[in-house]
Amino acid sequence: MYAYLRLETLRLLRDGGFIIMSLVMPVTIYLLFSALLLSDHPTNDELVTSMVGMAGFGALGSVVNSCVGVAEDKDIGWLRQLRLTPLSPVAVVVGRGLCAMGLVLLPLTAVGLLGWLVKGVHLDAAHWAGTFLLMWIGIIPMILIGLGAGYLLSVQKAHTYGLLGYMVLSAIGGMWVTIDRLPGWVQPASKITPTFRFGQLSRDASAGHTPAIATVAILAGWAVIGAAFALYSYRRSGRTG
Amino acid sequence: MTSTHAEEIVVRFTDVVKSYGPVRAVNGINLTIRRGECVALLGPNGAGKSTSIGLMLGLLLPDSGRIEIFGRPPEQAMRSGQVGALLQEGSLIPRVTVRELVGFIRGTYPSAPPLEETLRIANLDDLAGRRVDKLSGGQSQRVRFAIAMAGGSDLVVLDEPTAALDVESRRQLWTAMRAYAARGKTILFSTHYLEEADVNADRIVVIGDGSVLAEGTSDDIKSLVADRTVSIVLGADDPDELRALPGVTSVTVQEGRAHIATIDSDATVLALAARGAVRGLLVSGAGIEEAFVALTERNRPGPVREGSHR
Repeated sequence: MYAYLRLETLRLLRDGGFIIMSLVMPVTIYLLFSALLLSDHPTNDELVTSMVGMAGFGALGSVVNSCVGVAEDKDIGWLRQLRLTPLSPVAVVVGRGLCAMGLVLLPLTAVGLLGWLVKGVHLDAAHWAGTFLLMWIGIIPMILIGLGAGYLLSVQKAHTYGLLGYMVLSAIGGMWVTIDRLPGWVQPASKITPTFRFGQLSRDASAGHTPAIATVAILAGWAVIGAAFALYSYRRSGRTG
Repeated sequence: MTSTHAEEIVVRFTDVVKSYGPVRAVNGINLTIRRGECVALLGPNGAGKSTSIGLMLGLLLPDSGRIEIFGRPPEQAMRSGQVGALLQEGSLIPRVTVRELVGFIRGTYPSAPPLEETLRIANLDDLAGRRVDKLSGGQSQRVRFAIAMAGGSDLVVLDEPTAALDVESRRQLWTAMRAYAARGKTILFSTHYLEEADVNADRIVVIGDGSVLAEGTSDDIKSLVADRTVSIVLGADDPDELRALPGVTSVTVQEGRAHIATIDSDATVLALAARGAVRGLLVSGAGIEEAFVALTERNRPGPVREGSHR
């Protein structure tokens, strides 16, 4: 599994264009939105909220990239090649998931550094660490769902549905506007989305609150669903195609 | 599993059927391959070779029948590292070197030989540091072969390993394959070149329309397969009588001409002349396609003759 993680990470790191794009997108969006949405003299709380929101948004974007990457691996026959080795499906899915987690570090780090150095966000060391660590772990359910979709879909569909899922889940999960501003009938659905719970996890962490049990439980539930979905799709990907 | 008994069965297909919608790609194949054999699956495109290989590797599940690899289900045999494979389609992943890729695959197997040994057999020593996306067709096919044998598996399955390769690349690949087989490994490859099967396999299994049409040594197969086609304008002759002429293995009628496949074109032509049936005579070397027609017809009661009952 570690050898697989190493190989996939190596492939990724050698794709300079992809790495730059993974950084440019969240950085641009963060700078743009914080300039547009924040007042001239924002409070530290506002700065933190904006940074955490954009870091989360960037992390989700990176999950979509991983989803498309997996679909590409299927298209060129790499997944089938892996299936012909003794590697177990669990090892492949976990290895690829860890690689996707590595990729998520790019937008998280970039937005975090910008927040600290450019926007002047103040948090003590434990808060910084706690917030970003929890965001990094909290993204796991979305990574597993993304991998599952990638194992299942063609590259083109992975692009389309990846983006669609990203938009819909971000919208109803309150990543763009807080869910109390969404229509009343959407709100109950919003509360069970992994994106809303992911956002809540990061907001709680940055505010120094212990995450609510409901948040952790719903994210854990999504992680289990995502893992089952990813394993099922990976097994299927070798059979068909 | 570690028995070295010479008769150990490596691959066993029992009445295996696999359909895609209405098409029966594999239609009741029975097949046994023993340890140390080098077997060719010979057949034209669409004969069911790739489907059979997909079934053997656990990539496809049969609709019915039983497949055992080293006495267990294909997926288990794959997982234990007893099988290495080269598939027809699929390209190599970009942005890694030959050494990184083959070394990674090797590392997934429990008892793989040293990487350098695999690279040497596949004639890749000089290319080990090269990115796989910068290789020629022949070179990348050797990498694919190296991947198939990197784990030192007892069974190596190769789906059309030499398709689309030039003569020199083909020669290099077969040299490598023989070096691997020389260690007592079992090799199964598919091809649609009779000659390739003839030169490289101990045993040939001819597949057509999803079933085994014939199997045996290359001499056995060649004696079954016509090597010439004699063609005449049919006129009033009865195709069934032509079928009884010396050397003739099959007769097909198309657009008023009888195409007579024969293993002895001299005798067939002399017999045609004796009947006064030589009209617009053409004699040609039979391609593998004709050979399959001959075998298919031999094996089926309903012949492939067209328009013979006018």
